[in-house]
Amino acid sequence: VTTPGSDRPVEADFHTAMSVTSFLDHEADLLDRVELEEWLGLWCADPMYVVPIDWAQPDPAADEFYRGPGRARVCIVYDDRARLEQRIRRLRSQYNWTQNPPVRSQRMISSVVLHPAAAGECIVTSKFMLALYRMSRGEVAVLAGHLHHRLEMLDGGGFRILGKIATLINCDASLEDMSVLF
Amino acid sequence: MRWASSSVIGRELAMTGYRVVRCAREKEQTMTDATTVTISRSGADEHRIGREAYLSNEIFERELERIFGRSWVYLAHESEIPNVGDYRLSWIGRQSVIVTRRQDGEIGAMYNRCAHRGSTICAEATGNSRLFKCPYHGWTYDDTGSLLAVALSSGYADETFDKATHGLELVPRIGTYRGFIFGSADPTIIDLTDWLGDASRMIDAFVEQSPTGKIKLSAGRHLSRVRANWKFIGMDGYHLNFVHRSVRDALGETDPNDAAGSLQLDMENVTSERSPNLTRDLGNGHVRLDYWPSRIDEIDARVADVEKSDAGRKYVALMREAYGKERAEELIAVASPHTAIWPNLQLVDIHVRTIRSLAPDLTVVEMAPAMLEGVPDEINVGRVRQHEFGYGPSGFISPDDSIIFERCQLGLQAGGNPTIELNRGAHRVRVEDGMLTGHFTDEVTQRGQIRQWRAQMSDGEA
Repeated sequence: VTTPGSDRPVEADFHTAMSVTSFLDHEADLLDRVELEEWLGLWCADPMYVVPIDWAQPDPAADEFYRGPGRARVCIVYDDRARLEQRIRRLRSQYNWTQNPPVRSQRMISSVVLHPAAAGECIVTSKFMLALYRMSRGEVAVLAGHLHHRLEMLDGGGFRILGKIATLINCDASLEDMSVLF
Repeated sequence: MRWASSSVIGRELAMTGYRVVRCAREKEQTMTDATTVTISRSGADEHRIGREAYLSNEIFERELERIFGRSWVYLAHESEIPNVGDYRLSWIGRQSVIVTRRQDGEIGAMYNRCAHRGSTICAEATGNSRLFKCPYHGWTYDDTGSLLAVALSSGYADETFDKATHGLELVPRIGTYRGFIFGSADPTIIDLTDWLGDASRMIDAFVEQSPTGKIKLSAGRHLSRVRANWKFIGMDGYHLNFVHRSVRDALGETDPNDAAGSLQLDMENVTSERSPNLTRDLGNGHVRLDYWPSRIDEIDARVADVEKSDAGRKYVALMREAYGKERAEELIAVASPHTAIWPNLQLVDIHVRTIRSLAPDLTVVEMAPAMLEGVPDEINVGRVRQHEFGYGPSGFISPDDSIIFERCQLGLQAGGNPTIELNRGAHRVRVEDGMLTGHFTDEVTQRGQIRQWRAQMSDGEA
């Protein structure tokens, strides 16, 4: 675990780095197992979940950007808590034709990097590859991109997601159904 | 000339043993029986259309020539190229087009094909440049398409090579209406104003959501890739409660004051048997879902809803000042003309939708929410959020449409009945306000589009 632009590893202890990595893996696993309500439980009360259409992203506090000037920009997903809950209810609806039959996913999170953050918070970037199997087509589609997480470090261990930006490498291209959560 | 060269190439290919790929022009001359039947069957009965119209490569090639090649095709919006030198790429059918704001301030459109060996000269979707240089051999053009320079020019003799005749091919006709830029590959096409006809009033209602009458496509856009025929991207009032039923489940107990909540109420009210709303056939293939009746009924509530915020109160005041109380409130209440302008432009909710057909079973839909000039920023931020809720690849509405169109494309592979049905409401269609009109769920819109399709696809006798 290193800090970009710095010639030495982040002073954050090894334990924090390991906990962050395993938190991201846990989150990915919940999404692949479609444990969406449990996944929602990882989020804070006033979150920001964004899938942008722009490849160039401001650094480092991308979720803060989308709470501010980035609000004027069209996004693929721009969810506050209420919209995120609605999104999950829609994924659960038997009338959601994009999930009829359900789309399976498996994802890998890698290249986890910790960045300087406010006290009690972690800013983490990572890269993902996500395979989607749409049964109705008999095809696997592969998506790739990078993630930005702003996490609150909880007393007694663990994290809560304050903001998350998922940027696809083809975010500005034409995309098929992206009902999947990143 | 094309004939001669293509048959020479054909003989050469035959000699090498390669299969000859027939070009579109040859196909047009030798339209197969299946294509003739598909076009003429729908000609004989406008309540049906042949399934081949959605499947056949031959028909698709003919559409590129007859529909996209002989219509006013929407290219871009002026707000996308506001400054001198700005350009964006667009398409007429499969042909790439560069739309430019030239040095003289005028709008131009030229095919993105070097006059020499045919490379595209521009690869970026948008940008600013006064020169376009081909990457292949360096031929350089200005933004009017004139050839300025060829590299190593001694290879071209002055007596036989005239730069003036080696410029970029221009799109023969360009027209604009209230910021919307259209182009036509057909130099003999009727004027844009006549082509738009009554649909121009719908463009008026769309841009007059702004007190200055101007919109900007400046907030970004969604691009959705749909594995289905472009003609499915239509105007259908019948499907809402079926295809989009998951929206109701999503919203659950949502506050009806939320933009999304009011959409839910809309869905319940507008598509029932007792809905006062209408489908309209504006002629020339332009059609519309007419929400006016239900929204005018709720005019006070709808205006009051907008006036709940400071920004909303300012917006309503600006609108009243610009258009007078009555017209302003009507515009605000109706909010969107929900109109499809043949063949590739739609004004749906608050976005400008462009339909780009790539293959019989592949379509890209561009959806750009319209930002209003001269309103508080919060109004436009609200419009962006309202748009994202429904549209784009992760919206609550678009993905279900795309999947259902894909299912139609798959389902139509099945033979049997050679046609699909577009006859809903045929028994109760009437003329109202000078146009064919039906119940909101009737297939007046589909029939209006197919009538135009048939007229352009056949040899004009339809």
